[in-house]
Amino acid sequence: MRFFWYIGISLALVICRTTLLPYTPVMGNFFDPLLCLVVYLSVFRPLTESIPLLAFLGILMDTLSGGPFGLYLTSYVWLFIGVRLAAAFIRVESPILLVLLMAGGVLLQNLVFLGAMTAFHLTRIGSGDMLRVFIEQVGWVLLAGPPLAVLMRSVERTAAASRRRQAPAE
Amino acid sequence: MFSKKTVLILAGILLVTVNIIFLAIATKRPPSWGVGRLLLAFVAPFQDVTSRAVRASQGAWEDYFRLVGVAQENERLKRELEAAAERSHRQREIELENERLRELLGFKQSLAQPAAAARIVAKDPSSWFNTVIINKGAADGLTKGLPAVTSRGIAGQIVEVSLYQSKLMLIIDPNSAVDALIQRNRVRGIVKGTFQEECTLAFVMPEDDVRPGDSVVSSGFDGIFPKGLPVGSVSAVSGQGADFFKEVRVRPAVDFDKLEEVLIILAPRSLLPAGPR
Repeated sequence: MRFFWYIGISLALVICRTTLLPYTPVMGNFFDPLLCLVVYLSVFRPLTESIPLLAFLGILMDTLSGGPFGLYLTSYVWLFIGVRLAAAFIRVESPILLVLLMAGGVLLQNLVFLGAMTAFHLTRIGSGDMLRVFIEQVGWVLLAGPPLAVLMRSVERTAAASRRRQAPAE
Repeated sequence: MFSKKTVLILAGILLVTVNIIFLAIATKRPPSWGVGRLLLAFVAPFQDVTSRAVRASQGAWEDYFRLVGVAQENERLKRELEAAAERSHRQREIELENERLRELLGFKQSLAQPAAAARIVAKDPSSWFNTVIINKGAADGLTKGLPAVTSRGIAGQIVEVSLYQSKLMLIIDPNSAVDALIQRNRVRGIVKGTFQEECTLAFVMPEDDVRPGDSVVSSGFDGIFPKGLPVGSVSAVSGQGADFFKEVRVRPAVDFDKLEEVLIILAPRSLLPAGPR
């Protein structure tokens, strides 16, 4: 059941990114909203639950994107690993850190994309253009990130409370 | 002399008679006595106030009901207005779509090859690539590699096909390459996408005469795009670049920001021009 919820949320985010945001003025370079879901999975959910979903998200986005297959999957997997590692040293559940993790995710994803494009000689992108897109995306993370982080935490708290209620019954 | 009963009967008859006579006289000559006028003057103001109050309360009551009616009518009219505005907006959209489709149909009829019109349903999730998803797939006869055009020029190429949808790589995508010519003097090059809404014409020799404003058309040499379709126009030319060739920037003929429908040319590659004419 939980997977259906995740799939529903993922589809909503993907539709938002591919169908709504590109036609909304100034939001053409909005960051990949699935990064938030990846951060959520990394911080709050167990491996058994996260890994299948991570694979689903990566394949879904790679299917929709015109880039080489695997770019999104790569960026999601590395973000997931990075956040898991960070969680071993710092308390990543704090909203500020969640926003920073999302910004880090945007940076990582852009590095993966640019690295691939450069490595595969897909195009020559001017550093100015690169910086502009990156700054726009980070700007959107800083704007949309705090409410998303608060939402993540409240979702997790509700889910945890629900699990605790169900535990004695079981 | 008379019994009490007789007296009562006579008095009754007299009273009725007097009353009848009084009524008969009064109906012929209406009373205009001073007392009557005085009474009228006294009573009238009260009557007036009472009547006004009654009328006012009646008016308020009626106004209340009327206002309720007006409010309801206002709500209804607002809803009707909103619906009309929505209809008008939809009609305008249909008109615009109709114009675009007519233009596309006219262009389709001018094409030698069979073509299928498709609508763009989604854009690439990444900022670094320029592909779109269209609502036609293998079920409609689409296959990988088919060219997509609009009445303005070349739009892109099908790179992935599912049963009912396909992925279309636009010519502004970094992976895209179209064999092209400068229409004026047939200088040849490859139109390559950048991640912006602009292309470059690669492999133009330093001695080739290319000027801003020159039209760029497809050469047909790539075996994908029919020969002679507009690709764009030269927007800037700079001298020899780092890789020996001239740097030529091309503004695409198609406005990709406003792209909503495309025509997919369904002809097999063998029907397309294979070499220079």
